[in-house]
Amino acid sequence: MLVGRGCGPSHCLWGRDLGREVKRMEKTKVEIAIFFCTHLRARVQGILKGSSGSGADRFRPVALPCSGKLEVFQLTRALESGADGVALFGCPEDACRYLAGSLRARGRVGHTVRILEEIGLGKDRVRRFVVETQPEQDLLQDFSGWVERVRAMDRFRKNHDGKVRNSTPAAEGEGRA
Amino acid sequence: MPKKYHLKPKTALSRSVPLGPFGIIEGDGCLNCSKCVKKACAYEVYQKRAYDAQQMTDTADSLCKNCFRCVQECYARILSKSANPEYWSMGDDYWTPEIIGTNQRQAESGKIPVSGGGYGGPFAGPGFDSMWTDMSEIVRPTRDGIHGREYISTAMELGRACQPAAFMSSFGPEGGGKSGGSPRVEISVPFLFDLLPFQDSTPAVLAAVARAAKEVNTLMVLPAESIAGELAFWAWHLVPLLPPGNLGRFIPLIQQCRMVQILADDEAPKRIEEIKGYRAEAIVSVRLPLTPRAEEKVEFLLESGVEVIHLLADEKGRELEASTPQFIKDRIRNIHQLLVKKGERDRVTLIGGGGIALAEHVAKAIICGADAVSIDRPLLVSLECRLCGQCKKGESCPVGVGNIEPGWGRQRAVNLVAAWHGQLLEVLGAMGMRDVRRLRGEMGRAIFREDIERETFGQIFGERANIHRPAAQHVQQGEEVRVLAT
Repeated sequence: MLVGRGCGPSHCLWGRDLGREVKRMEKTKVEIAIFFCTHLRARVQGILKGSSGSGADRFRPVALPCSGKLEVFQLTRALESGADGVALFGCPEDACRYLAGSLRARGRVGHTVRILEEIGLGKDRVRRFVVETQPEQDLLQDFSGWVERVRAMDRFRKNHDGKVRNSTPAAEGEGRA
Repeated sequence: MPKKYHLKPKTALSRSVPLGPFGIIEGDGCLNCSKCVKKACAYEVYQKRAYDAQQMTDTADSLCKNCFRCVQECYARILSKSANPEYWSMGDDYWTPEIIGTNQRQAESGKIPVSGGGYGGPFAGPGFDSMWTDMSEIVRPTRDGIHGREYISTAMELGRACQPAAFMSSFGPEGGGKSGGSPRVEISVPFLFDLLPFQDSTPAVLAAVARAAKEVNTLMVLPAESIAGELAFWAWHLVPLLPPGNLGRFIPLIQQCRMVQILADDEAPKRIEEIKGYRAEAIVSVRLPLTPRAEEKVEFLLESGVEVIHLLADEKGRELEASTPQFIKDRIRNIHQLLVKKGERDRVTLIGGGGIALAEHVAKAIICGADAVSIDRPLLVSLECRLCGQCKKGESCPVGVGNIEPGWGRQRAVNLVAAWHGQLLEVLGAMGMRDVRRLRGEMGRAIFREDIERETFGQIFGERANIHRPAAQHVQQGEEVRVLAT
């Protein structure tokens, strides 16, 4: 994200090559926490392997017995502890082996998304992917697209004291008057 | 009176939250009861519940003792339990999650694992589970118990036993009074620390294990090239594995270490002679893979004057290079009995390695004829390793084994040794034995399931296939998580 016009290297008041900084920000790596139902392990592993070229530095997968096990606090705390986005892979609601697990997961993810939207962190940071019988390529495309949207969002950074603060990529490259 | 061997275990808490075998699933529809079952939990799981940022898990899963009180008593029936796939995918079909979990708990506390609910099994199975050890004297405890004045020794000597002729010639009229016997090394527990399969080049891990080897008074096998810097300080407790080729650059190590190790190849006799030339007191051990031809190689090495033979199976205790591999206990039995028949058993020390996963395996391997065993994976497990193998694939370790503080790692390894030592004392005490050296080859103090099958049921039903059923089905990648009852 650029703030202001791109002046170009020779015109930048602060001597910075803003063009180069934008390129660097575009390739900034993100940390994605991935929770998945254990019955989808093979498919999720395939997606993660296929996504490794999209620039995401750190995928942190955690297997669950059912996507319905995930609590709201696990989603929010994952963001708090440094993840830029959280993905939940679950089974279709009528195919959940715990009967209501997927339905429950839908509700909890929805609740978390509303909280994030309300506090201004962006509703697309937490996303639920329902793994049906769609081709892996479609799911991979969907997931990769979401990762790119997360990459474009504000990044969580940690201060020297370890506390997370919000920072915009542009703020790091922005000149001060 | 010699000082009694005593280890000092001290609680060394895990750095990461241990994975629990089952997880709590909380459904929707809570009634907000005034007498919530969560408040009534005897273990205060819900009060202590937290979020583990490192593993992104709910700590309630590891705190829960699976008493099912909250599941039963919740009016809305919203609580249930399920198998935790992260736990059940640890290790493999030999190094099961239970083995990893119990070793980690022993490394944390230094205590013998006791559940308080009796032993739940397995009572039989493949590998070491097909041996049942003698417990006949357990009803005749000594007055002070096994830790009392009737001391049970777990010390073992490595090297060739003093031969009667040499003893007589040394102490006879012309002997001059000096002992002409071969050099011996005494270790206080009958297990050595072997080459680590993972994290084998991580300085912190090597330093921790080397310090532990010193503290428990045993030996640690390391590649000779890696013994430098801080590690060289503990050379007295290290066994450098010398590479093939010129030994010139390792002369200082040979002169400092009590035992050295070489690979079993055709050059072994020459290298043994060379090493003895540099230092006659250095004990030379030969690292011999346990293949179908191991007996031949043992006889060849015996002729070369080797003092210690380190027999190695694979990580699951299976024979190498065999189409139907036998288990390490059966191979050690064969080799031991061969040497006994030839009257040469005391000329060599046998160390068995590969598949030693629990304390009881130490005693069982010694019963089969080994003088001592070597352990590798249990040491890593004590440092919280989950044997996932990710480090070998170049991926990051989920628990950061490479970042341990060596002092903490030392204590964890010492705790594990203390727990295993305690269990060895229990096994020996139950047999009424006071010295682990007397256990060597005492196959009459164990029942072997295969022998019983053959001698009893075999005469009625003929040879039965698959008498060994695995205790629990390990989850494979992509499979459902299922835990079978034994």
